[in-house]
Amino acid sequence: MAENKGLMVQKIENGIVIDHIPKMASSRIVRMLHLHDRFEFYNGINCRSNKLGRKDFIKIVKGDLSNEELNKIAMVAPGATVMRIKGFEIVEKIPITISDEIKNLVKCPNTGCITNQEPYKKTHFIKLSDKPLKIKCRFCERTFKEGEFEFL
Amino acid sequence: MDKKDIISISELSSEEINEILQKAEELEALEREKQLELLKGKVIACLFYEPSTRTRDSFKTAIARMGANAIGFDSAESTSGKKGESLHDTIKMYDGYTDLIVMRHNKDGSAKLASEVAKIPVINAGDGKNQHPTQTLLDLYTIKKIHGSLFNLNVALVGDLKYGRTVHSLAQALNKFNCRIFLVSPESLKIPEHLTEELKNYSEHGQIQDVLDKADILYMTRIQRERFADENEYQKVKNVYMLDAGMLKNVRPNMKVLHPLPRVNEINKSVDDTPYAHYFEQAKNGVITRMALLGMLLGAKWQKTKD
Repeated sequence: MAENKGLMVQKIENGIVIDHIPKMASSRIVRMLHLHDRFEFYNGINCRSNKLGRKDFIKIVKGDLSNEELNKIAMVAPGATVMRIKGFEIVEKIPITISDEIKNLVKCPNTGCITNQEPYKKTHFIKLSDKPLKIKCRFCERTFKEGEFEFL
Repeated sequence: MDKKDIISISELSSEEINEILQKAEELEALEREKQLELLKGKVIACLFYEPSTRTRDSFKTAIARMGANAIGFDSAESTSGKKGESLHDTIKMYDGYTDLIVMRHNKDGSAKLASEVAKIPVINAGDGKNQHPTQTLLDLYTIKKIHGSLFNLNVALVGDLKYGRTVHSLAQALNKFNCRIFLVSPESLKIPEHLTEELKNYSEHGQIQDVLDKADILYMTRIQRERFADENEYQKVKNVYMLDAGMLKNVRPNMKVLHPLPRVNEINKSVDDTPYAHYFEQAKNGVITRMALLGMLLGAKWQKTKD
Protein backbone atom coordinates (compact mmCIF):
# COMPACT_ATOMS: atom_id res chain seq x y z
CA MET A 1 0.00 0.00 0.00
CA ALA A 2 1.28 3.43 -0.88
CA GLU A 3 2.30 5.78 1.94
CA ASN A 4 -0.75 7.66 3.07
CA LYS A 5 0.24 11.05 4.37
CA GLY A 6 -3.33 12.27 4.66
CA LEU A 7 -5.59 12.12 7.63
CA MET A 8 -6.20 8.69 9.08
CA VAL A 9 -9.56 9.69 10.46
CA GLN A 10 -11.89 12.29 9.03
CA LYS A 11 -12.05 15.77 10.49
CA ILE A 12 -14.78 16.42 13.01
CA GLU A 13 -17.09 19.41 12.72
CA ASN A 14 -17.54 20.09 16.42
CA GLY A 15 -16.03 18.51 19.50
CA ILE A 16 -12.76 17.78 21.25
CA VAL A 17 -9.52 16.32 19.89
CA ILE A 18 -7.04 14.76 22.30
CA ASP A 19 -3.81 14.19 20.38
CA HIS A 20 -0.28 13.00 21.22
CA ILE A 21 -1.41 10.46 23.78
CA PRO A 22 1.40 7.97 24.52
CA LYS A 23 0.75 4.77 22.56
CA MET A 24 -1.73 2.38 24.14
CA ALA A 25 -2.68 4.90 26.84
CA SER A 26 -5.92 6.10 25.26
CA SER A 27 -8.04 3.22 26.56
CA ARG A 28 -7.27 4.45 30.07
CA ILE A 29 -8.59 7.90 29.17
CA VAL A 30 -11.72 6.34 27.63
CA ARG A 31 -12.38 4.33 30.77
CA MET A 32 -11.49 7.10 33.17
CA LEU A 33 -13.86 9.61 31.56
CA HIS A 34 -16.49 7.00 30.58
CA LEU A 35 -16.33 8.26 27.01
CA HIS A 36 -17.89 5.04 25.68
CA ASP A 37 -21.09 5.71 27.62
CA ARG A 38 -21.35 9.36 26.69
CA PHE A 39 -20.10 10.19 23.22
CA GLU A 40 -19.47 9.08 19.70
CA PHE A 41 -15.69 9.17 19.21
CA TYR A 42 -12.88 7.98 16.98
CA ASN A 43 -9.98 6.33 18.76
CA GLY A 44 -6.65 5.97 17.03
CA ILE A 45 -4.36 3.40 18.62
CA ASN A 46 -0.64 2.94 17.98
CA CYS A 47 -0.66 5.35 15.02
CA ARG A 48 2.38 6.80 13.29
CA SER A 49 3.51 10.13 14.70
CA ASN A 50 6.35 12.45 13.72
CA LYS A 51 6.60 13.72 17.27
CA LEU A 52 6.28 10.47 19.24
CA GLY A 53 6.98 7.67 16.76
CA ARG A 54 3.76 6.02 17.81
CA LYS A 55 0.77 7.65 19.46
CA ASP A 56 -2.90 7.33 20.31
CA PHE A 57 -5.56 9.96 19.71
CA ILE A 58 -9.22 10.48 20.50
CA LYS A 59 -11.69 12.63 18.53
CA ILE A 60 -14.93 13.24 20.36
CA VAL A 61 -17.82 14.10 18.04
CA LYS A 62 -20.15 16.85 19.25
CA GLY A 63 -19.14 16.51 22.85
CA ASP A 64 -17.43 18.66 25.44
CA LEU A 65 -15.45 17.91 28.57
CA SER A 66 -15.12 19.98 31.73
CA ASN A 67 -11.77 21.44 32.77
CA GLU A 68 -11.69 19.00 35.68
CA GLU A 69 -12.05 16.09 33.27
CA LEU A 70 -9.42 17.50 30.94
CA ASN A 71 -6.99 17.88 33.82
CA LYS A 72 -7.40 14.20 34.61
CA ILE A 73 -5.92 13.52 31.20
CA ALA A 74 -2.74 15.31 32.30
CA MET A 75 -2.09 12.61 34.89
CA VAL A 76 -2.28 9.79 32.30
CA ALA A 77 -0.84 11.64 29.32
CA PRO A 78 1.07 14.73 30.47
CA GLY A 79 2.21 15.65 26.93
CA ALA A 80 -1.21 15.38 25.29
CA THR A 81 -2.52 18.19 23.09
CA VAL A 82 -6.17 19.05 23.68
CA MET A 83 -8.11 21.13 21.15
CA ARG A 84 -11.68 22.34 20.95
CA ILE A 85 -13.14 22.20 17.41
CA LYS A 86 -15.96 24.32 15.98
CA GLY A 87 -16.94 24.33 12.30
CA PHE A 88 -13.97 22.06 11.40
CA GLU A 89 -11.55 24.65 12.85
CA ILE A 90 -9.45 24.61 15.99
CA VAL A 91 -10.98 27.36 18.10
CA GLU A 92 -9.02 26.69 21.28
CA LYS A 93 -5.92 24.85 22.40
CA ILE A 94 -6.60 23.88 25.98
CA PRO A 95 -3.59 23.71 28.28
CA ILE A 96 -3.94 20.82 30.69
CA THR A 97 -2.31 20.63 34.12
CA ILE A 98 -2.50 18.04 36.85
CA SER A 99 -5.10 19.13 39.42
CA ASP A 100 -4.08 19.91 43.00
CA GLU A 101 -6.23 17.01 44.18
CA ILE A 102 -6.18 13.67 42.39
CA LYS A 103 -9.18 11.52 43.24
CA ASN A 104 -9.80 7.86 42.38
CA LEU A 105 -7.21 7.82 39.64
CA VAL A 106 -4.00 6.52 41.17
CA LYS A 107 -3.42 3.40 43.24
CA CYS A 108 -1.43 4.04 46.44
CA PRO A 109 1.97 2.30 46.09
CA ASN A 110 2.13 1.77 49.88
CA THR A 111 0.93 -1.82 50.33
CA GLY A 112 0.18 -1.01 53.98
CA CYS A 113 -2.25 1.76 53.00
CA ILE A 114 -5.91 1.18 53.88
CA THR A 115 -6.98 2.17 50.35
CA ASN A 116 -5.40 -1.04 49.07
CA GLN A 117 -7.49 -3.14 51.42
CA GLU A 118 -10.91 -1.59 51.16
CA PRO A 119 -13.16 -2.95 48.41
CA TYR A 120 -14.29 0.54 47.33
CA LYS A 121 -10.92 1.56 45.82
CA LYS A 122 -11.30 5.22 46.63
CA THR A 123 -8.02 7.08 46.63
CA HIS A 124 -7.16 10.72 47.15
CA PHE A 125 -3.77 12.35 46.58
CA ILE A 126 -2.60 15.93 47.05
CA LYS A 127 -0.16 17.33 44.48
CA LEU A 128 2.95 18.71 46.20
CA SER A 129 4.87 19.75 43.08
CA ASP A 130 4.63 19.52 39.27
CA LYS A 131 8.26 19.25 38.20
CA PRO A 132 9.23 16.76 39.42
CA LEU A 133 5.74 15.45 40.02
CA LYS A 134 5.27 14.61 43.72
CA ILE A 135 1.99 13.50 45.22
CA LYS A 136 0.98 12.69 48.80
CA CYS A 137 -1.63 10.12 49.81
CA ARG A 138 -4.27 11.82 51.91
CA PHE A 139 -4.76 8.62 53.89
CA CYS A 140 -1.35 7.10 54.69
CA GLU A 141 0.47 10.48 54.30
CA ARG A 142 3.28 8.97 52.21
CA THR A 143 4.80 10.94 49.35
CA PHE A 144 5.49 9.46 45.89
CA LYS A 145 7.34 10.60 42.79
CA GLU A 146 6.48 10.13 39.14
CA GLY A 147 7.09 6.56 38.06
CA GLU A 148 6.38 5.18 41.53
CA PHE A 149 2.61 4.93 41.18
CA GLU A 150 0.19 3.04 38.98
CA PHE A 151 -3.32 3.84 37.87
CA LEU A 152 -6.39 2.22 39.35
CA MET B 1 -10.51 24.20 68.15
CA ASP B 2 -12.93 23.44 65.32
CA LYS B 3 -11.61 19.98 64.47
CA LYS B 4 -14.10 17.12 64.24
CA ASP B 5 -11.41 14.45 64.60
CA ILE B 6 -7.86 13.86 65.87
CA ILE B 7 -6.14 11.92 63.08
CA SER B 8 -2.62 13.23 62.58
CA ILE B 9 -0.19 15.66 64.16
CA SER B 10 0.43 17.06 60.68
CA GLU B 11 -3.15 18.39 60.69
CA LEU B 12 -2.73 20.32 63.95
CA SER B 13 -1.27 23.83 64.20
CA SER B 14 0.87 24.93 67.14
CA GLU B 15 -2.11 27.05 68.33
CA GLU B 16 -4.44 24.04 68.26
CA ILE B 17 -1.89 21.90 70.09
CA ASN B 18 -1.51 24.59 72.76
CA GLU B 19 -5.28 24.83 73.12
CA ILE B 20 -5.55 21.06 73.71
CA LEU B 21 -2.76 21.16 76.29
CA GLN B 22 -4.35 24.16 78.00
CA LYS B 23 -7.71 22.37 78.26
CA ALA B 24 -5.97 19.26 79.61
CA GLU B 25 -4.28 21.37 82.29
CA GLU B 26 -7.62 22.91 83.28
CA LEU B 27 -9.25 19.50 83.35
CA GLU B 28 -6.53 18.15 85.60
CA ALA B 29 -7.24 20.93 88.08
CA LEU B 30 -10.94 20.06 88.16
CA GLU B 31 -12.36 17.95 91.02
CA ARG B 32 -12.84 14.31 90.15
CA GLU B 33 -16.62 14.48 90.77
CA LYS B 34 -16.93 17.27 88.23
CA GLN B 35 -14.86 15.37 85.67
CA LEU B 36 -17.30 12.47 86.03
CA GLU B 37 -20.20 14.68 84.97
CA LEU B 38 -18.65 15.91 81.73
CA LEU B 39 -19.49 13.00 79.41
CA LYS B 40 -22.22 11.34 81.44
CA GLY B 41 -24.47 9.18 79.27
CA LYS B 42 -22.12 9.18 76.27
CA VAL B 43 -21.15 5.90 74.61
CA ILE B 44 -17.70 5.63 73.10
CA ALA B 45 -16.58 2.90 70.69
CA CYS B 46 -13.06 1.56 71.26
CA LEU B 47 -12.24 -0.34 68.08
CA PHE B 48 -8.88 -2.03 68.56
CA TYR B 49 -8.07 -4.11 65.49
CA GLU B 50 -4.57 -4.54 66.89
CA PRO B 51 -3.80 -5.48 70.48
CA SER B 52 -2.43 -2.60 72.57
CA THR B 53 -2.89 -2.95 76.31
CA ARG B 54 -1.34 0.36 77.23
CA THR B 55 -3.10 2.70 74.83
CA ARG B 56 -6.41 0.85 75.12
CA ASP B 57 -6.47 0.95 78.92
CA SER B 58 -5.38 4.58 78.94
CA PHE B 59 -8.39 5.40 76.73
CA LYS B 60 -10.75 3.20 78.75
CA THR B 61 -9.61 4.86 81.97
CA ALA B 62 -10.11 8.29 80.39
CA ILE B 63 -13.62 7.29 79.28
CA ALA B 64 -14.50 6.00 82.76
CA ARG B 65 -13.15 9.14 84.46
CA MET B 66 -15.33 11.32 82.24
CA GLY B 67 -18.41 9.31 83.20
CA ALA B 68 -18.94 7.79 79.74
CA ASN B 69 -19.31 4.14 78.74
CA ALA B 70 -16.97 2.20 76.44
CA ILE B 71 -17.99 -0.52 74.01
CA GLY B 72 -16.01 -2.20 71.21
CA PHE B 73 -13.44 -4.93 70.73
CA ASP B 74 -9.82 -5.65 71.65
CA SER B 75 -8.51 -7.60 68.66
CA ALA B 76 -9.29 -8.20 65.01
CA GLU B 77 -10.07 -11.84 65.89
CA SER B 78 -13.39 -10.91 67.37
CA THR B 79 -14.57 -8.49 64.70
CA SER B 80 -16.74 -8.65 61.67
CA GLY B 81 -13.63 -7.59 59.72
CA LYS B 82 -12.57 -11.18 60.17
CA LYS B 83 -15.73 -12.18 58.29
CA GLY B 84 -14.70 -9.91 55.43
CA GLU B 85 -16.58 -6.76 56.35
CA SER B 86 -14.92 -3.61 55.06
CA LEU B 87 -13.69 -0.96 57.48
CA HIS B 88 -16.14 1.40 55.78
CA ASP B 89 -19.13 -0.75 56.77
CA THR B 90 -17.93 -1.40 60.33
CA ILE B 91 -17.48 2.34 60.88
CA LYS B 92 -20.93 3.08 59.41
CA MET B 93 -22.41 0.75 61.99
CA TYR B 94 -20.62 2.25 65.00
CA ASP B 95 -21.41 5.70 63.63
CA GLY B 96 -25.04 4.85 64.25
CA TYR B 97 -24.51 3.32 67.69
CA THR B 98 -22.12 5.63 69.49
CA ASP B 99 -21.02 9.23 70.11
CA LEU B 100 -17.31 8.93 69.29
CA ILE B 101 -14.93 6.34 67.86
CA VAL B 102 -11.43 5.59 69.16
CA MET B 103 -9.66 3.32 66.70
CA ARG B 104 -6.37 1.46 66.39
CA HIS B 105 -5.84 -0.38 63.09
CA ASN B 106 -2.91 -2.06 61.39
CA LYS B 107 -3.31 -0.20 58.08
CA ASP B 108 -1.83 3.24 57.38
CA GLY B 109 -4.51 5.85 56.77
CA SER B 110 -7.32 3.78 58.31
CA ALA B 111 -8.17 6.51 60.81
CA LYS B 112 -8.45 9.12 58.06
CA LEU B 113 -10.78 6.84 56.15
CA ALA B 114 -12.88 6.22 59.27
CA SER B 115 -13.13 9.97 59.90
CA GLU B 116 -14.46 10.51 56.40
CA VAL B 117 -17.04 7.75 56.73
CA ALA B 118 -18.23 8.69 60.24
CA LYS B 119 -20.30 11.73 61.08
CA ILE B 120 -19.24 11.41 64.74
CA PRO B 121 -15.69 12.31 65.87
CA VAL B 122 -12.86 9.82 65.37
CA ILE B 123 -9.66 9.66 67.44
CA ASN B 124 -6.70 7.84 65.92
CA ALA B 125 -5.14 5.51 68.50
CA GLY B 126 -2.49 4.38 66.01
CA ASP B 127 -2.84 3.64 62.27
CA GLY B 128 -0.25 1.12 61.09
CA LYS B 129 3.16 2.71 60.66
CA ASN B 130 1.71 6.16 60.14
CA GLN B 131 0.54 8.19 63.18
CA HIS B 132 -0.21 7.96 66.88
CA PRO B 133 -1.25 11.53 67.69
CA THR B 134 -2.51 11.01 71.24
CA GLN B 135 0.90 9.64 72.26
CA THR B 136 2.49 12.78 70.83
CA LEU B 137 0.01 15.03 72.61
CA LEU B 138 0.69 13.37 75.95
CA ASP B 139 4.43 13.72 75.31
CA LEU B 140 3.94 17.42 74.57
CA TYR B 141 1.74 17.85 77.65
CA THR B 142 4.50 16.28 79.73
CA ILE B 143 7.22 18.46 78.21
CA LYS B 144 5.15 21.61 78.64
CA LYS B 145 4.49 20.81 82.30
CA ILE B 146 8.22 20.36 82.88
CA HIS B 147 9.52 23.41 81.04
CA GLY B 148 6.49 25.72 81.05
CA SER B 149 6.52 26.16 77.27
CA LEU B 150 7.19 24.09 74.19
CA PHE B 151 9.03 26.79 72.29
CA ASN B 152 12.78 26.72 71.57
CA LEU B 153 13.69 23.66 73.66
CA ASN B 154 16.61 21.33 72.99
CA VAL B 155 15.16 17.87 72.54
CA ALA B 156 17.20 14.72 71.91
CA LEU B 157 15.40 11.76 70.30
CA VAL B 158 17.33 8.55 70.89
CA GLY B 159 17.16 5.00 69.54
CA ASP B 160 15.02 3.65 66.74
CA LEU B 161 14.30 6.73 64.68
CA LYS B 162 13.57 4.76 61.52
CA TYR B 163 10.55 2.67 62.48
CA GLY B 164 9.38 4.55 65.58
CA ARG B 165 6.19 6.32 64.54
CA THR B 166 6.04 7.98 67.99
CA VAL B 167 9.33 9.69 67.29
CA HIS B 168 8.23 10.76 63.81
CA SER B 169 5.09 12.52 65.07
CA LEU B 170 6.97 14.04 68.00
CA ALA B 171 9.68 15.46 65.71
CA GLN B 172 6.99 16.94 63.44
CA ALA B 173 5.27 18.52 66.44
CA LEU B 174 8.45 19.92 68.06
CA ASN B 175 9.35 21.44 64.72
CA LYS B 176 6.16 23.54 64.91
CA PHE B 177 7.53 25.04 68.16
CA ASN B 178 10.99 25.84 66.77
CA CYS B 179 12.71 23.27 68.95
CA ARG B 180 16.33 22.28 68.35
CA ILE B 181 16.21 18.55 67.64
CA PHE B 182 19.13 16.16 68.20
CA LEU B 183 18.61 12.85 66.40
CA VAL B 184 20.66 10.05 67.98
CA SER B 185 20.55 6.65 66.31
CA PRO B 186 22.75 3.91 64.87
CA GLU B 187 23.37 4.25 61.13
CA SER B 188 20.84 1.51 60.31
CA LEU B 189 18.03 3.19 62.27
CA LYS B 190 18.34 6.79 61.07
CA ILE B 191 15.22 8.90 60.64
CA PRO B 192 13.75 8.76 57.10
CA GLU B 193 14.76 11.57 54.77
CA HIS B 194 11.20 12.70 54.05
CA LEU B 195 11.03 13.70 57.73
CA THR B 196 14.34 15.55 57.96
CA GLU B 197 13.26 17.49 54.87
CA GLU B 198 10.52 19.00 57.04
CA LEU B 199 12.70 19.83 60.04
CA LYS B 200 14.04 23.36 60.48
CA ASN B 201 16.70 22.89 63.15
CA TYR B 202 18.25 19.48 63.70
CA SER B 203 21.49 17.51 63.75
CA GLU B 204 22.22 13.78 63.56
CA HIS B 205 24.47 11.92 66.01
CA GLY B 206 25.72 8.40 66.61
CA GLN B 207 26.63 8.78 70.28
CA ILE B 208 24.30 9.70 73.11
CA GLN B 209 27.28 11.39 74.87
CA ASP B 210 27.29 14.07 72.13
CA VAL B 211 24.02 15.50 73.34
CA LEU B 212 23.68 14.70 77.06
CA ASP B 213 24.83 18.10 78.37
CA LYS B 214 22.80 20.10 75.82
CA ALA B 215 19.38 18.50 76.10
CA ASP B 216 16.35 19.82 77.96
CA ILE B 217 14.53 16.57 77.16
CA LEU B 218 16.11 13.19 76.50
CA TYR B 219 13.49 11.10 74.73
CA MET B 220 14.55 7.44 74.73
CA THR B 221 12.90 4.74 72.61
CA ARG B 222 13.03 0.98 72.49
CA ILE B 223 14.72 -0.72 69.58
CA GLN B 224 11.94 -3.02 68.46
CA ARG B 225 12.94 -6.59 67.70
CA GLU B 226 9.81 -7.20 65.61
CA ARG B 227 10.91 -4.55 63.08
CA PHE B 228 14.01 -6.51 62.04
CA ALA B 229 13.80 -9.14 59.32
CA ASP B 230 17.35 -10.20 60.17
CA GLU B 231 18.03 -11.27 63.78
CA ASN B 232 21.75 -10.48 63.36
CA GLU B 233 20.97 -6.88 62.51
CA TYR B 234 18.92 -6.62 65.70
CA GLN B 235 21.67 -8.16 67.82
CA LYS B 236 24.14 -5.60 66.47
CA VAL B 237 22.13 -2.56 67.59
CA LYS B 238 19.95 -3.72 70.48
CA ASN B 239 22.34 -2.54 73.19
CA VAL B 240 23.82 0.59 71.60
CA TYR B 241 22.11 3.04 73.92
CA MET B 242 21.92 2.08 77.56
CA LEU B 243 21.37 5.00 79.84
CA ASP B 244 22.44 4.67 83.46
CA ALA B 245 22.55 7.09 86.39
CA GLY B 246 26.32 7.58 86.08
CA MET B 247 25.94 9.12 82.62
CA LEU B 248 23.72 11.91 83.95
CA LYS B 249 26.40 13.83 85.90
CA ASN B 250 26.74 16.83 83.61
CA VAL B 251 23.21 17.25 82.37
CA ARG B 252 21.17 20.44 82.61
CA PRO B 253 19.52 20.71 86.04
CA ASN B 254 15.96 20.67 84.72
CA MET B 255 16.61 17.94 82.12
CA LYS B 256 14.11 15.06 82.12
CA VAL B 257 14.28 11.60 80.60
CA LEU B 258 11.13 10.45 78.79
CA HIS B 259 10.22 7.10 77.22
CA PRO B 260 6.94 5.96 75.62
CA LEU B 261 7.32 2.59 77.44
CA PRO B 262 7.64 -0.36 77.57
CA ARG B 263 11.41 -0.13 78.08
CA VAL B 264 13.73 -3.09 77.78
CA ASN B 265 17.30 -2.20 78.73
CA GLU B 266 17.77 1.26 77.20
CA ILE B 267 17.10 2.91 80.57
CA ASN B 268 18.82 1.24 83.50
CA LYS B 269 16.78 0.98 86.67
CA SER B 270 19.38 3.20 88.41
CA VAL B 271 17.96 6.15 86.46
CA ASP B 272 14.55 5.66 88.15
CA ASP B 273 15.90 7.08 91.42
CA THR B 274 17.44 10.21 89.89
CA PRO B 275 15.51 13.50 89.66
CA TYR B 276 15.72 13.17 85.86
CA ALA B 277 13.44 10.13 85.50
CA HIS B 278 10.03 11.23 84.27
CA TYR B 279 8.67 8.35 82.18
CA PHE B 280 6.09 7.06 84.65
CA GLU B 281 4.77 10.58 85.14
CA GLN B 282 4.59 10.78 81.34
CA ALA B 283 2.49 7.60 81.10
CA LYS B 284 0.13 8.96 83.74
CA ASN B 285 -0.37 12.10 81.65
CA GLY B 286 -1.82 9.92 78.87
CA VAL B 287 -5.10 9.61 80.73
CA ILE B 288 -5.68 13.33 81.31
CA THR B 289 -4.67 14.25 77.74
CA ARG B 290 -7.09 11.69 76.32
CA MET B 291 -9.82 12.88 78.69
CA ALA B 292 -9.36 16.41 77.39
CA LEU B 293 -9.54 15.25 73.76
CA LEU B 294 -12.71 13.23 74.35
CA GLY B 295 -14.30 16.18 76.12
CA MET B 296 -13.31 18.74 73.49
CA LEU B 297 -14.50 16.65 70.54
CA LEU B 298 -17.81 15.96 72.26
CA GLY B 299 -18.37 19.62 73.09
CA ALA B 300 -18.06 19.34 76.90
CA LYS B 301 -17.20 22.60 78.65
CA TRP B 302 -14.99 23.11 81.68
CA GLN B 303 -12.93 25.93 83.07
CA LYS B 304 -9.99 26.39 85.31
CA THR B 305 -11.00 26.28 88.94
CA LYS B 306 -9.38 28.76 91.32
CA ASP B 307 -6.41 27.30 93.08
